[in-house]
Amino acid sequence: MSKTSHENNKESFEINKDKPVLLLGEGKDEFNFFTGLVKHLGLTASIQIAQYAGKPNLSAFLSTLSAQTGFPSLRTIGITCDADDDHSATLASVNHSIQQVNFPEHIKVKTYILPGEDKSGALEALVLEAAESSPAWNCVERFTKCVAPNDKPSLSSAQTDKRRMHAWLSTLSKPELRLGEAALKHHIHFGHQVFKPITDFPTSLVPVTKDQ
Amino acid sequence: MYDSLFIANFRAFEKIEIAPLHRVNLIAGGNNVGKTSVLEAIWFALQDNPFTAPETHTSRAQALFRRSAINYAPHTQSPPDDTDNFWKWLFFQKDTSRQISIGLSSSAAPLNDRLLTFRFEGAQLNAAAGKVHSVLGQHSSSSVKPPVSSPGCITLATFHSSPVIDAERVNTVSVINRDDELVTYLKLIDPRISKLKYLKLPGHQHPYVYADVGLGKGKELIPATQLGQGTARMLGLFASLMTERARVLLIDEFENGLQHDAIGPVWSALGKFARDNDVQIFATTHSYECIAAAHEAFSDNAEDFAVIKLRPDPAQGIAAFVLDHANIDVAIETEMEIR
Repeated sequence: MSKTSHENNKESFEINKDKPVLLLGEGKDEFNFFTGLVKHLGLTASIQIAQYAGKPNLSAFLSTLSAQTGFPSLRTIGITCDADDDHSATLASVNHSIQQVNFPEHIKVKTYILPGEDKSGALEALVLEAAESSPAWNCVERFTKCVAPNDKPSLSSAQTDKRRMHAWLSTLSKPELRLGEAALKHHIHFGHQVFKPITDFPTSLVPVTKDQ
Repeated sequence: MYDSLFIANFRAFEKIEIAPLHRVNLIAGGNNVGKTSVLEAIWFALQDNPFTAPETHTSRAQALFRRSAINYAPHTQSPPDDTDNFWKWLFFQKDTSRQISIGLSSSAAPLNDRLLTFRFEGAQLNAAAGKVHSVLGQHSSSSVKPPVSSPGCITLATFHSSPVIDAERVNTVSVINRDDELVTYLKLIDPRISKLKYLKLPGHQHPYVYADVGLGKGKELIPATQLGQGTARMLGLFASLMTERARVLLIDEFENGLQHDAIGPVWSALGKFARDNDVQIFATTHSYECIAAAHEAFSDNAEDFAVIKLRPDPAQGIAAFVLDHANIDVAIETEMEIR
């Protein structure tokens, strides 16, 4: 995972003291997806997005984050994670990572396991469900069926979702985009009912002030 | 190797414990969180008598510590300037009614736990190392019997070596038949070096160190002073560590004077030296590049290296977090600020 020092000239991630909420995604795609979603929701003034470089790194990320800052202005941390094959095991793992870190009492930590309650899968599953109503969906399905006989061994359901995802993204007006980039560039219709729970999640993280 | 450091009422620290310590400890944090103070604390804890330390050590301490007008003379009465401008400032919030305590613990032989305390009794500053007791400005050194011998301690930030002194050190390294070893470490920084020689050229006033770097057809030796800055600096340091058999190395602002592409090789060489010679390193840095380079240099010996992150904490004043390989890995991957 390590990079050379020459690759580390990018702007580094620090807790934004003006934002009460930190929303965490698994990787760069999720970072971009949630950045697009939070913009769509008009919550950029309250929510900072970050990514923890994959499920196995969540624990190390949270403890490193804790060393970086005392979270003086932070009120809520929202942690999202892909369920993959086992929703309840993922939830248990995320909760375990949270318990390893001694967060200050004033911070609430909430979790959301994608794609949704008790479901296995990942963020892609949600986006694909929304994409089913798009004009090119039939082409995606035909492509998937067409190439399936060449799979030796057969792809898992999650891998098939990733194939569908790439196929669908390639039908967009900018076919080079990745999932997160597509969300950033407004190619994902966040108003679709399938996104309702994941749309509600960031909103639920923002503390209600007396003025509201 | 020391496992933990405890500091109370010293400089920026009301109370802080840093554990576990590693073979190589890189101290990071924002301005004025006490990075250099940790080095100072370790230095003090390793002195048998901080008031009567040998001249050379005292000079190093003063240069490692803050800029000071102290005209420190160990065996004369200490002038009031010293007390007012230096010693009182060692106390947390300059509160001299409390006692400074600095402890280093080790679970492994041959090092023993060290505890140094300072306290004012009236206008008199007393220091005690274990059962040892000494008073600033008094001739107490002859009566000082440290309970345990302190390991040698070298401070790189104040390593004002000269080519002539380096030459004598390299000569001493040759005498103890460790010059090949010295070349091995230097090759990690400059792979061209195949041999070092202590030579006094005809007509020259002093002997100097010359290096065989395979230069030109005649393979002419070049003066070590003409090697890269990192190499020349490390030549003097390694030779000094080898001849003084120091067990602790303190480096303030590691990256100072090093080009960015030299930082990684210098870490690799220092890491190997530290492992081979049972040396423990404490360094400070402001630089993300320095942390990333060290992390990479220690990737095959991850258990040897940690970043100690200091930051203000509402409950503790200054808190210390020891970041291990996994922490640093994820910080680099997510571009998290850990300086």
